[in-house]
Amino acid sequence: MSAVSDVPEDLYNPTALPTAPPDASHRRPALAYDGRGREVFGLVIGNAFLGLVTLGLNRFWARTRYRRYLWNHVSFAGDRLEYMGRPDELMVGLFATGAIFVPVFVALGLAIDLLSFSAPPFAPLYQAGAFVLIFILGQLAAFRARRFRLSRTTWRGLRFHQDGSAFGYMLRWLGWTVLPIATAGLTLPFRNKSLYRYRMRHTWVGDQQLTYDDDSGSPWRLMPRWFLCWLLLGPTLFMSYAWYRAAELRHIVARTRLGTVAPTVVISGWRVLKIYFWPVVLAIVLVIGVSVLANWLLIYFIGADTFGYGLADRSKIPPWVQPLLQAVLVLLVLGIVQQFLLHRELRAIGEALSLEGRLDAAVIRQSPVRPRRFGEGLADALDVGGL
Amino acid sequence: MTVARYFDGQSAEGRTLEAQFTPERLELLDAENRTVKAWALRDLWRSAGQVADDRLVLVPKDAPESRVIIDNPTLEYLIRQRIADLRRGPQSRNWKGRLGLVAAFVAVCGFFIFYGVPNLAALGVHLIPKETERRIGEVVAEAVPYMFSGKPARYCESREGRAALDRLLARLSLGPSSGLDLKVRVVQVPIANAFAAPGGHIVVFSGLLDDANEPDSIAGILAHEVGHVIKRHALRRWLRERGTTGFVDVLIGGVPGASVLTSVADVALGSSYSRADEAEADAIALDLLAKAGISTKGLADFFDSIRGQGDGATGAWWLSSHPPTEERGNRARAVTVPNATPALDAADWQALKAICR
Repeated sequence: MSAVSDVPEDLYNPTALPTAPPDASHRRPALAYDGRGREVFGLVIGNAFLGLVTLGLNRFWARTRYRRYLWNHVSFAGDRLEYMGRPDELMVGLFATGAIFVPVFVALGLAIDLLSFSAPPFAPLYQAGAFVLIFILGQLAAFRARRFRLSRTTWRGLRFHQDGSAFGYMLRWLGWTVLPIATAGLTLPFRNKSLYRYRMRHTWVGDQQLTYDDDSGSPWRLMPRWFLCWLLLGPTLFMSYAWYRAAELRHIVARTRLGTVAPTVVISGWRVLKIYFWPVVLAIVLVIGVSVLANWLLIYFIGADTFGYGLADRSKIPPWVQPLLQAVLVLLVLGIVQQFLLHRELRAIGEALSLEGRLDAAVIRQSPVRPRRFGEGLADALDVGGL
Repeated sequence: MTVARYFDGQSAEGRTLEAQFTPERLELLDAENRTVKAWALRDLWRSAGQVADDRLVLVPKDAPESRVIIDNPTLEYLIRQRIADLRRGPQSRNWKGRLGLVAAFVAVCGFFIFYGVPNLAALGVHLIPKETERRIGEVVAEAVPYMFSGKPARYCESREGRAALDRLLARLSLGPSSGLDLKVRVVQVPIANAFAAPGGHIVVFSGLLDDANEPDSIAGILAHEVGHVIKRHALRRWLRERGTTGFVDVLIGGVPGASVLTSVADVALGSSYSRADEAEADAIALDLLAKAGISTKGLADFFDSIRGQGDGATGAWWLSSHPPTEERGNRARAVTVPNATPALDAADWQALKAICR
């Protein structure tokens, strides 16, 4: 303890140190996010670089670091959330899932092969079918992953929790998604509200369940705006969706309750558009940039002319190198932008949301549900654990 | 005074207390200066939820659900600098643990890909009944020419050509009496190629007949494909590739570029196995040729003729699906067949070459 005895005396003389005033904010709760773009960007870039070097093996650690950062910068009633998950839990979770899903994936692959071989012209159809199947299964995985994340989220030492059925959520998602497809998108407000409500109603803070106030207006109110937005989707290159989405957020988020605490949401379409606009522009520019870069690197270093301009001998490298390099770079860029986007969304929500009503902290007790041991393997396997 | 809020892990309602640090202890005192809680500093963790230069969040080791939150950023900084025993929470492990975990992960994955999948595929081959394999082969044999030419396969069945082909097979002891139940067909595709699909289906592209100078080459190539049939390579390879991609898909799912990595793993692994398969088929081919009294020179010449246009020139020979053709040619030439006669007489050779007309 020699290091400790070097501590200057004034550390133990509290009057010499500045202190924050006793925190009274738990009487007037607030939800805030104070993550910084530069820090998130550094974190995400670092993770991506390590992922490239370790062939993705670092992703359990990368994800944990990223979540810790986001969670720790969200505070409710003055106290920060904590992400308590560990990387090895994610790794073991993936293994446990793999034991079930490797055979499923293999069987699916064999089935697609057989079907494709027996009717070659329809091969893309079977591929697409498998993709849709995996995508639907991904909703189940995403719900389960959310359960894991919440069970590893604490606030003032109290665990969060999610109940409800992942399979039920998947079926709801399927039903609510097929309906808008059948109605050319016109029933989308009902879908979004319904799925949001399901997620919220199955979320617990300690032993307190979030509720959704259904009585104060249905998504029918959103329909005129949605219809207008829907008409303008084409002419505005989908940007009218931001204008609708702002109204939707104001509608559905404001109906979430934790006891008597209710949020008000003040957000404009412009603000929603701003969340996505620059990341999307950045993504497009970077995707084009890295594609050109990939080609340039190959031409410069290996002498391969993938554009076929006759600059060099194409045959020197195997034909899969260029698409591989390009795809890795593009997906890397998209991964980075996606994670950065989440930060921007959180920041916008933090700005837009204010809480009304009195928080009776004494009512919120520890969750009686023990957290599960491992998690999220399926989401990892299906690549839907974007967080 | 330094204010601390203490949460007991049961309620969100905290107690506001006074924190008193000594070099080895933290004590929380109430308004009457009575000690409410006290810990040795080594019995506390700094929480994973700690943000730099922010209030200090401490987790007692014996009650990981409780929190002591000290609203004093300066203290956080000093304690991080000075007190070694306040470590991050149970969330992080030391680097040895991490390395061990990664090593175990890599080992399990490597074992499965390099040992598990090939052996499971070899096992799977025996689990698939011959009749099923035959039906799979049927669709593959139809589909592959389609992929090459973009048209449904058109099989060449001139009577004289067919008779010549059957005589060639009989000469190689591969006729109906061989028990192999081969189905050898020529398909109209102007590419010099041939392949063995599962279940004894062998398909020769007409381009191969057009390019061949002598019947011995065709005999050698047929014998080579028969080698694949005997060893059920096509089925095994299919199972193996599906096994590898399924595994890598699940394993790498969360990584950007996953599907591309999958296909590279597929190419790299698949080709090293298929090089072994080709060598095996070559050995059987040379054996069949020798038994039939057909010179191996035709096969050797064929290997020489595809040299330079195929994989030998890419430099990445370890990624190519066939062994270096120079080596294969030399190995074929090394087998001398005494009293060799042409695989087909001149009339039959012409008939075979004209099978598509």
